[in-house]
Amino acid sequence: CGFHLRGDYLLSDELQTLYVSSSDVHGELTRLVKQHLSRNQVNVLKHRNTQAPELRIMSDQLDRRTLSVFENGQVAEYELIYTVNYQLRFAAKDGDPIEEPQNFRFELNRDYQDDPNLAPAKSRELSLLLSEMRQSAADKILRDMARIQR
Amino acid sequence: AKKDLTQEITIKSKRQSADLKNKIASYLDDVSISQGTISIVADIVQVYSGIDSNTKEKSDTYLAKGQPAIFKQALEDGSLITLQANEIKYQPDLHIITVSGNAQVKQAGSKVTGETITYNTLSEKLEAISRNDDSVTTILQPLK
Amino acid sequence: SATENSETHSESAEFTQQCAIPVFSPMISDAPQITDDSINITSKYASIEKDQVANFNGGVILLDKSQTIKADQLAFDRSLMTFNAQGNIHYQNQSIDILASELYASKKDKKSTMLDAAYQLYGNPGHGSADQLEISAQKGLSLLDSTFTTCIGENPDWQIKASEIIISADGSEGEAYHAQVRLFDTPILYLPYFTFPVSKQRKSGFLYPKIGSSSNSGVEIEIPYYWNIAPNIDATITPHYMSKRGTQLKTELRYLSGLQNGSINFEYLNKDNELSANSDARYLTRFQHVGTFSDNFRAYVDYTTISDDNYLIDIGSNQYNANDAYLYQVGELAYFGEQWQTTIKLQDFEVLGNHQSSYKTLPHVEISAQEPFKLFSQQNLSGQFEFNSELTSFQAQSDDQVSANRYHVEAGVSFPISTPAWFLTSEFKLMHTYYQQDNIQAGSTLSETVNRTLPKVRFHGGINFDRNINLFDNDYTQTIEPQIQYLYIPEKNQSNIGLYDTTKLQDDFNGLFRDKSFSGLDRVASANQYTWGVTSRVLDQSNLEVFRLSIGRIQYLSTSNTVDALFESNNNNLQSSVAASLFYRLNHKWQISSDIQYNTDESFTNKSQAAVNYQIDKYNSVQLNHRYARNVSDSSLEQMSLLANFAINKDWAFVGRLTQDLKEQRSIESYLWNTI
Repeated sequence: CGFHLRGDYLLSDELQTLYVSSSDVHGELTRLVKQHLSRNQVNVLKHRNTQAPELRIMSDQLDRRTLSVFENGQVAEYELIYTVNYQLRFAAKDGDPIEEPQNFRFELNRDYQDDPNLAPAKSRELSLLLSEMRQSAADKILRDMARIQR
Repeated sequence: AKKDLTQEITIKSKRQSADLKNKIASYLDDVSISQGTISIVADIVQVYSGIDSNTKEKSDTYLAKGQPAIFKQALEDGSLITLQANEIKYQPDLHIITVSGNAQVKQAGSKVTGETITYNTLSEKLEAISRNDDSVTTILQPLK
Repeated sequence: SATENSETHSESAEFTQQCAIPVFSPMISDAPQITDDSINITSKYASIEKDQVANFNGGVILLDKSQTIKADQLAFDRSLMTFNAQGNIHYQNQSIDILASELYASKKDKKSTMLDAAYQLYGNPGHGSADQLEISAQKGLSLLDSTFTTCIGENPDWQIKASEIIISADGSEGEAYHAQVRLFDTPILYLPYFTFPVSKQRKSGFLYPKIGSSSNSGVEIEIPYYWNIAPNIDATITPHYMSKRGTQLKTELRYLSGLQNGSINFEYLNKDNELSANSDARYLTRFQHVGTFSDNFRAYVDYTTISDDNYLIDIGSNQYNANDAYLYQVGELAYFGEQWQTTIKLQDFEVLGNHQSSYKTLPHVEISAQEPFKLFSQQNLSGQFEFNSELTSFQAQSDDQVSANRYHVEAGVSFPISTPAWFLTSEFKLMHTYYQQDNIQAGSTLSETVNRTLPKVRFHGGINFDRNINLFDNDYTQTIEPQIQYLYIPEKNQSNIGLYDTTKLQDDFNGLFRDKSFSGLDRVASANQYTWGVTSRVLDQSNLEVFRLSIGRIQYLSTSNTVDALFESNNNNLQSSVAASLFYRLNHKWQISSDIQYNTDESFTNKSQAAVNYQIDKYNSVQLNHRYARNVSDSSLEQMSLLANFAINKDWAFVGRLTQDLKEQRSIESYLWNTI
């Protein structure tokens, strides 16, 4: 019924080599994006140069929205809203001025049950959920880049 | 300037014709008229000599046509004024020049274009009026 | 790593009125571009005398290099290079647009003066009127007997009326002399002199005031003052008047240097008139910092102290959500080498309300390393040695609580193979944990020292199938992503270990493929199970998920028979609840999402939620959701909530949440904040 194995993320050949920058250089999302890129045979440069495109992680922010509350009004369940803003600037063709970067933004949501009696355990669970959301965010950035044209 | 009017008028052209009955003298093809610092260049110039009704003085009217016809004169301060248009009417005794048909008047500090422009050679004042929806355009240069 | 910048949008985020920034279009669209100093005037009538004095009237339009003027009549004196115009003056340059009755301008000293003018700044909401208005190259714009406001509308909510207002030449700063700040046309503040920001540039001065009211604090007025201390440091000082409580002072200091940035927030209310019982100050301070330094180091701090448990509910703060139950106090320093990383973290919590006091972790040290290696050299099958270790010392906060030091090591080898079409991760790990526990209460099953060694074997694979489909005549990609995992961890009785940072993880669909069912390390669930799951998505051309359905379940190959408070006795049925989740985006406004964990063996729902989300625009949305949880902090919960944040009209917004507890048939809380 028409299904076929997903082809490689054929990143346009301009994106085979790129530099990844971020305001939080060692932040978990930036590290995961670099890892995902190298696993898909992209050469991630150590230093920025205008000949190579640049992927910049602008911000990744976790917000919470209350979904349900305990009798005493304290929060029982939250909706975690993880928002990522990133920018992709293609390499400047020789002679042309540096290109305007394209901006992208997306959100991932997860439910999370809180419990004030178990603060350390719940904060550990929150870190686990955050890491899992960052894994899928890094994967989504890669899949989005496969569709971006100059 | 004023003393131009006392000067003698000379007219050159390739062809001439005269209509004595109506007292109209016509000069055709590369016509040029000069009187002191005044000079007129046009394709055709008709000179209507008439008598001013109240002063009983001789008052001629020069009607020049060209693509465009051009009138030049030096002003008191020595700068030049150039009027050009499809049709120039010069009445020396009334000190009035009227240009019409994409008329343009250029002076040292300004350039005026419009449908009809009148210029008084005595007061050195020009007035431009536009008809219906077109408008008068003036470009003023800053004082050097 | 620790929770990072998880600051929250406060539930009562006021809907600050955004006056749309009007941008006026040029008066004459096809105006000739004048580059030299000439002046181009079009009119019905023009006269020039002696090439010096010119008069124009009839729809006069004057254009020069920097400005455009329309008037009924205009007189120009070339020798003095001055002109003055009368009648329906409309003046425009690239930073301002003015209507006036009279204008006098001198090109020589580059100054134009206009009488009874109304002005509008370009690309900036600032506008107002002035009896006399003067534009000069050096002095900028000066307005005598004038008004300035940034809100549109005939009678703007607030405006500044002053004998003189000067807006600097670069259009960034405004100064007002003998000024009144008027609110709904009643003067509320007189200031002999003050400056205010005109453009978006960071300029010290007052920001737009916020006015609102709430059931907790009565009428609330905030007038924030922004202080641009230095290019990389600024502060916002906000007196926050509350009719029922008094005036609170909120200050936020932000700094930025190199790759480091952070902020200090301090909210202080000297005396809360609403509280008769005690009169001590109520405050909240929060210090946040994130930064990278000398290339490989990363620092992260999020520390909050608060005066009392009800501060957030009574007064509220834009740092935290009114219903937050605990606040973070964490400091972390991390080093990232090429092959190895280490993190040192200190963590505690400010728990609000009478709950079990939580453990302080002073310190928590993580060291992890990876070393890739090639397997059978010629194949490109590459594996990776992995080493993760944690040392954590849990300090009790109450004397009947156990405290412990925990050393944990997880080492082994993994083979992560991932291509877009399929992935297979196989892991062979050995986990060893050593506990030193003291202050063990009499009769408890805990022991002084514990050693726990457990191997872990995990195979997790998946295949991605795609196909292009066409629905409602646009193209989509539909995917089918089956996944399967086998996990083996032998069983071990761990009742001699206390619970420090461990609790049962949520078993929704995302949790099915984890290698642990508990957070933290104090319990390692035994496993001899395989998990199957399948997800089908529909993605539009820009990779946006339009539809997603996932379903999966864990099949247990052997049952665990250890008795432990935390282990939910799956009383030897052979499969977990079925976990399914659905997401459907009808269009960019309507979205439906639902999750369920259904126990087929005993046919009851463990947990379910369904939500319909209507996104009015970027900021405003309404959500109706129904939630059921069979066991939340050992009580069941069934609630229907309406979450809303939308503007009723340009001045009023409804931000609130109505929760109806279906179990006890009463509304737990409704929360309303209307603001102008």
